[in-house]
Amino acid sequence: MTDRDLQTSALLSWSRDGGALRPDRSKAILEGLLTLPAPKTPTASRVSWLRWALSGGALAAIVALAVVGGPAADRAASPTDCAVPTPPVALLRAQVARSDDLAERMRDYRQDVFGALAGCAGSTEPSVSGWLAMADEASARADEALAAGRLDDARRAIRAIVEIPAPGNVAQDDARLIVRDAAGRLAEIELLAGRPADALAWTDRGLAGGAEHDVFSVALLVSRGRAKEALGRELEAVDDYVQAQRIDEALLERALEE
Amino acid sequence: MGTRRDDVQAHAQGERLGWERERVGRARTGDRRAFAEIYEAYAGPLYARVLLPKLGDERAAEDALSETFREVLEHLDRFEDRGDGIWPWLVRIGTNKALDMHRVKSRTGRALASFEGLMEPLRSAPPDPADAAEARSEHARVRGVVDNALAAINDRYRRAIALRYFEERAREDCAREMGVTVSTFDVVLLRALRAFRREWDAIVEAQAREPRS
Repeated sequence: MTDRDLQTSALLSWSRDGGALRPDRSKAILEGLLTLPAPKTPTASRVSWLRWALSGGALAAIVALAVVGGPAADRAASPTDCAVPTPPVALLRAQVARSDDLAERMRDYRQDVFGALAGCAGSTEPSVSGWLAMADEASARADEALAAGRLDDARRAIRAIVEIPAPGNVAQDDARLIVRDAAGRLAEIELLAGRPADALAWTDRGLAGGAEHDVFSVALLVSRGRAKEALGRELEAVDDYVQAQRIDEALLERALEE
Repeated sequence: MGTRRDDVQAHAQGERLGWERERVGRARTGDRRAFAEIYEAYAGPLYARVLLPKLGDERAAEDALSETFREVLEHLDRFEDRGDGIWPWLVRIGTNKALDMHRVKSRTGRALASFEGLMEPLRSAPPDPADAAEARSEHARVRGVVDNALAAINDRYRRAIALRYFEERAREDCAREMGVTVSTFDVVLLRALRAFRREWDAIVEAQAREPRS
């Protein structure tokens, strides 16, 4: 076909409905846009940090910084510090047994965590509530995309959480928890996509500061074990599984005592 | 002196600009709902009347739409309202995105072809996002010329075009429907496109020669 034929072909297609944008495509584009950083009016140093953070190549460093420290670690004690809900026994049992309902129980617990953080003192500040709402919405979009088997959409949604640095007045522990969960979810997505090396990179970043005693670290350890297994590093994988099991059992014991 | 229709249009435009300014203000503070409302108001007209005619390919036009609004989101603080709202700014960004895509066409291998020039003689005014009646009228004018051009080509060509472009059937389906192989259908369709284009050009040229009322 020549350019002239392509022109004619495109004109005929347009004449069918006047070039109407399909609602499903319009919705998908808007959803993609809503995962992007909102227009901000930060200080000059914050702008340069944000630009650096969004430059793509710096993504790895951001996750590591958000997880192990860096700008986030220097923050003053935040008013949003408050208790993260204790994981329910059913979730811990599901993690120990790797049962089929694990993903569903993790999703419910994640919602509880977001709900609790949103209700903490200080989280009504626009910058804090905006970041938490962004992370919560991105997480919900990822759930929806995963349920429909749309891995690319799920990946895009979760990456927004690790790419957008938490505002300085979000408690560092809260931010780390959310980013740790996001890194674990990205690892799971890469495992589903058959990309164990990428999955391993996410788990390493999520666990860069060491495994915490929470269900998100357990999920990261299990995903790291699966990634290593897929890469033929079975012996190393065992260490991760053992560590995951220990944390899980300790959490379960504590939850049963309560 | 202005007519009643001019007054009504000016009032409607004033209301639209007020609605728009309020949302732009909120979107600048990070209000995602306001940004989504701006997108929902202008994405359709921008796609149908600017991007698709400039690119001729649905996927490319969707990408350009996404890129345009990405830029809007990132640089909303740079937007200066000169009294005519955000639409001219959107058109300018979208046009630049479309030009960029044409520039890299050879590298990406995308089959892009602007058909804006074909529609130009049938346009009475630049696209206005608020004027749905004008958009419908433009579509009707184009469709009228399309129908006249189709009426002038042979039945077999007309059938091939209808199956592929209006019923959006797969090539295999079209070929089965016409009782030919897929490769034969491709040849018939190419000839149909060229026959149609000859008639289109002749009709548009004849219309251009007619004195405007």
